[in-house]
Amino acid sequence: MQMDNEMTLEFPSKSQNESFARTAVVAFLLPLDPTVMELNDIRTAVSEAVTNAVIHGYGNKTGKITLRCSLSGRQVVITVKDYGAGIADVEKAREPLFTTRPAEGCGLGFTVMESFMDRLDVISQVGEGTTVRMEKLLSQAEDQHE
Amino acid sequence: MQWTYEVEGNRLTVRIAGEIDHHAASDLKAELDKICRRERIKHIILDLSMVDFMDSAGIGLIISRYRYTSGQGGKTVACGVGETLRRILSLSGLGRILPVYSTQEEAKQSI
Repeated sequence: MQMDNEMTLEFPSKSQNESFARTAVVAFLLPLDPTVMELNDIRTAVSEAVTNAVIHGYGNKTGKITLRCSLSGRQVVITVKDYGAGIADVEKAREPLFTTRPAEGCGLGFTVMESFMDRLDVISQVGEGTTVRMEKLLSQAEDQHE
Repeated sequence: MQWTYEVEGNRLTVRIAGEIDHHAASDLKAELDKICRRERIKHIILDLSMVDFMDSAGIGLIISRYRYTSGQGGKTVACGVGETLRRILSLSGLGRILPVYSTQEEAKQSI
């Protein structure tokens, strides 16, 4: 099935919303009949992005996270935006195993997003927040219906 | 996420079901720390056969157990690792140092 569609969710940076966010994205994409692996890749990447916003964006504070998912044909674009601390050095943060909070993470969040999605862009400004933008092209479903 | 555990001597077997993310892993990590200290655990078996989702928080959880048992001169092993979990284990590099067995029985025999 081909479609153009989009959705936007806004939720507080509570860790229980990590599950809500990835489940919502999976539900949104299901009509496209993605493969199990594609769905798992996307829900893992969304989970990582939202977790980063919760842990690194806001830390002990609670702020707003905006998740947007859009479809153009079988191209999926997901953005996860926080309005928190921001990242001083994005390139450093994207290095595998780099973490500023070893007690809470293992520094693989961006590595997972990068590996499981086709494209990852991170735009951040200290004190303003971070936007993570991810793209993935879903394979053609074997049984397509108009 | 639900989990149960069993202590046999200095060996802890943890059976986890559901989804392991940062939210779930934080609580589990703290509980496992308590059990390991209280029971003087040396070896840990992580039974992941009922886990249907795991992100890098799960990797962090396994690494913390691996570090703990290494410090005790023991081992951490896993069993029941499905295809989706295998992918993130491999990406993390943990697949190279974490022995993985098909079943809990095999894992127990290895320790």
